[in-house]
Amino acid sequence: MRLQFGYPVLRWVAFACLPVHLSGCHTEQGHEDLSPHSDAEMISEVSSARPGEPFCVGLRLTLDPGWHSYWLNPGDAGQPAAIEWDLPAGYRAGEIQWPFPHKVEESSVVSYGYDNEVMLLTEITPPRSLTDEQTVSISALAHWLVCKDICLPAEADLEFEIRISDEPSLPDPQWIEAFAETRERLPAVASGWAMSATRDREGFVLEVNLDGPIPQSIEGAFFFASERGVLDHGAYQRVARGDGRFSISLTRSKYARAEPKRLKGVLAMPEEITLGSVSTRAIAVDVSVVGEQRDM
Amino acid sequence: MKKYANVAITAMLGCALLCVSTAAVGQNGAAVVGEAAPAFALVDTNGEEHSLADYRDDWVVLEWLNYGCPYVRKHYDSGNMQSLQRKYGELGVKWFAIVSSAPGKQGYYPPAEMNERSNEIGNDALAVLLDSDGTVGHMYDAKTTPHMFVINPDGLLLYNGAIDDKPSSRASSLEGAFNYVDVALDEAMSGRDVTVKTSQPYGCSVKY
Repeated sequence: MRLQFGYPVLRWVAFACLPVHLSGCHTEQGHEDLSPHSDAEMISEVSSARPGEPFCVGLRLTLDPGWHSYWLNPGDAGQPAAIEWDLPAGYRAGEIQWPFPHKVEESSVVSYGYDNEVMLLTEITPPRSLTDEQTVSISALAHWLVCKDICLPAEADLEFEIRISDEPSLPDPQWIEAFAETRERLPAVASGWAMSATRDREGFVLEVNLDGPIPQSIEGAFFFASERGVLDHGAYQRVARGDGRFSISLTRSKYARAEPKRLKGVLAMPEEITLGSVSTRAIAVDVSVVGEQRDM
Repeated sequence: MKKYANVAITAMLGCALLCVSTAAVGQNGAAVVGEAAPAFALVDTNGEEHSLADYRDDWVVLEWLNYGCPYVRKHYDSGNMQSLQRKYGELGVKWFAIVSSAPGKQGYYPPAEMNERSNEIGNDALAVLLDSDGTVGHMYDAKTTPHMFVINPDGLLLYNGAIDDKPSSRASSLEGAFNYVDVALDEAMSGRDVTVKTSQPYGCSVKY
């Protein structure tokens, strides 16, 4: 069984230089705090990158105690972070890669998000055609929502520098641990698991068949749908254990307008599980839904 | 309004005998499109009581409100919400804003102060109803502010969901937004079927 991550493994080099990053978090006398109760930084994993080869940057949000921000599917309330990139010609930025969230329960309103600190990763690819060594500055406008008992929109104008050269790319030692911890929380593709989703009266049953023993602890496993309006975000998900398999019962959203053809999201396990040589807490799910269609 | 009460009670009893749904008697989270909207009675900021039964034979809109929420402010600071309130108010629609914020939580104001906020912002709803213990919010399973419900003159819930299709607190998201409430009212009031009956509501969580 081999886990695949969404971006290539980075190679090691001889030297490092610290990337320049600005955070839009400082409150000055008479100035509105644009990123209240939270700080943002844009951090490049490497100090130099090669033409045509993607490298990773992390939007690192640090939140004041008690405050939370939101996942890709924010759940019942809230809004996910967004990044507007201002890229030099020929550069491409991928979609945000989201560590798996936790539930934020406020009475009957259940959202999906993060507290304390989270790093949202984006892969940036410099154009293949660059021939001269150069240092470029890449900027982005990040928007997010930070909430506790009230919600405040936040934004930050961020930038970082990256050296483009033919030399092998070197991870910035200051951030190696942060990127490693973030990757552990990214959903992994579990190629050894056969997953299926079957429609039933209440919603769906997600079944996972393993080619090995089921993890010791599966109670508390939770499926986070990646789109709103598919599942009831806060409904209890009953986990049932079988022989070499387990299943999770999911409740359909009362706001669903059509029967989904696929069930997409992240299965968060209560404890790390080992798939092949990698340990992970979260499994990416993208399966077609079978079973009788209801009239919506 | 009270003259409709006796007719409404008879109708509700009839419905309770004939209908499978028990939504009319205040079961939590039982606002189901196509079924009777849950009955309720709330006092407004001027001390007047309004019950849904009073408005049988009227179109009714319920708008969950919190003046402190950036999503609500997006719709009010732009005049977007007020223009809908006025447009449909002029057509006889009874538009109620409901505040289910608990005392001490964002969005809660005592009645006089709520009126001040409403005047400052120019709220054009018929009344702001106070639901500080969250009973009606939970009855409708109101998730966010704003969260919108459209009820027809037969008391049936026709729409339950977001105000529009742009789940953002940024003013720029109003441009090109498809307003589900505007369209639902327009369709239903001209005798057509509501094409979008529900959508995932967006906004700040209701502060129960």
